[in-house]
Amino acid sequence: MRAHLPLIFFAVLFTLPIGATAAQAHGNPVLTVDPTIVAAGGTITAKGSQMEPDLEFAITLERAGKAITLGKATAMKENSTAEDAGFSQTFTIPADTKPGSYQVRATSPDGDTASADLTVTEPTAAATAGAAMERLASGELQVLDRSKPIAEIAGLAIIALIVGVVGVWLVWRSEDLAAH
Amino acid sequence: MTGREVASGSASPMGRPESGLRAFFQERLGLSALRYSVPEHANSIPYLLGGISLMGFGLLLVTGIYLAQFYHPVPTDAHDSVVYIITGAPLGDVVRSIHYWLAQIVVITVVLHLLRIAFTGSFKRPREFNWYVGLGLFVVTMGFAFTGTVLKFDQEAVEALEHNIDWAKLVGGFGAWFSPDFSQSVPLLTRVFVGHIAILPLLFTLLIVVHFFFIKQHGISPEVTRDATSRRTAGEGRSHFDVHIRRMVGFGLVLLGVSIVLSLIFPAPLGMPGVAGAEVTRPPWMFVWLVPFEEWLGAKALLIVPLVLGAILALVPLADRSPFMSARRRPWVVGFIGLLFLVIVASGVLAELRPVSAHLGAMP
Repeated sequence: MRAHLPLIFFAVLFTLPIGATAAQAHGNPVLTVDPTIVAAGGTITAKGSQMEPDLEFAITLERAGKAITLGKATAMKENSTAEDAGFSQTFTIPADTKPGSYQVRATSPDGDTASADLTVTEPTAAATAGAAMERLASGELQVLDRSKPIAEIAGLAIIALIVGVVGVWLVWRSEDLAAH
Repeated sequence: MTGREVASGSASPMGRPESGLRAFFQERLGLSALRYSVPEHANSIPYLLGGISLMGFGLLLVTGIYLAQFYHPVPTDAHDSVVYIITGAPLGDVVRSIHYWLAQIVVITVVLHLLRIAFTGSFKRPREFNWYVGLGLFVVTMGFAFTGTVLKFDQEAVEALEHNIDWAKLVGGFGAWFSPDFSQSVPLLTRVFVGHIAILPLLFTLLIVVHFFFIKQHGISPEVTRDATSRRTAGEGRSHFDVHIRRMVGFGLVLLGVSIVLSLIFPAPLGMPGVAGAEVTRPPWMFVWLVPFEEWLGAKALLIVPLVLGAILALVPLADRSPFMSARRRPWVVGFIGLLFLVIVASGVLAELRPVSAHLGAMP
């Protein structure tokens, strides 16, 4: 028995995290989407699982801090004995969605979230209302609002001044400083 | 001297006892090893250009890591994510502009460093190998500038990427990595991003370590006088390397301050989203000198001109073998390098003055 102690120790050691992971996963909402690549104007099926029963989730399409609302989905138990609930619902990606990589996110009123990656491509002909506008090449600069709060400008100017003065001081006094 | 200082036995290299904090760090970090002798001229600005460039690279690394948190390196999202960096990310516009201005300044300091080495004969025996390592670092620097240009994915970037694809076709199998056909699962832009943040930094690190090793082995090149000859100077001099480091850091901070001010006054530009197949922009200034050669030779200039320039620079230590360092002792070599530099500058000015014309796809 004593000879098997290390084996038992390592068996317990490696089993513990597995149990812990399984316990952690239980109750954390999970979201999947199908398909994971869709043309703008197309539909996706979002499936939620490991959710609290009767909780309503807002489904959004997100990219770079911007969110498009796709709809809502309510988590339901599959049967009366099941502990977890989930949903399977179809959503339409707006036809004017710009092609790119997005995240589909389900957010509960409590702030629980789950997300899945989704790539949106150019809209299909059926999804496009009219002829696509052809963009022309331009060497012009993009006009953006680059104004900054006065406090930010002042703060950065002070930082620039401080690092500049410290830098000049280090260069100027480097021999003296090194001698001490 | 206090009893504690006597017990620790710590004394500064000047023979004075060290303070408690200084002694604490000295005992653990051994920083006094950096206080080895270097010639006084090593601390002058021309001989600090390499160190100033290194400080710039360090700041570029820090600002680049920040930008990478918001940049999305796929063709459909890249430009939008740059717009987001400018308009939405906290301090994104300023950090991007600092990154941009530091990159411009570092290219200038690297070129000046290369010219200083060439004009003062610092590549001569026993420093020939370090010249080649330095050329490698120069290529890596230009690689950083090129890939950085492509990443913003505006019109200028898309045209740069198309030049990259043309170049890949010209060099055949050697250019496979630069071709969109290399990977069917990852866009070329994403791989350019990997090049910018992983491959080039790795190459840079390897080369800079070797560069430093050689400098430590040979010492800084001797001060140029009329009869000075190239030799090893390691361990010589009345100044110390820690003075060199302090001045490097000092200039690095000045560089940061200047970059912040430039960023506030002249934010980094961003063009309109790129449209493939059009040529309506000029390349960035560090590459614009190639345009007249492209108009003359077609796209193959992208291969021929860098190869010729690289070959000339590689031949410098072989062609200039006299031990003398003074430019007056080697007027032909210095004159030729100066003329080469002037041709590049003149070509760049010409390209800036002339209207933009399409030359892509002009391959024979």
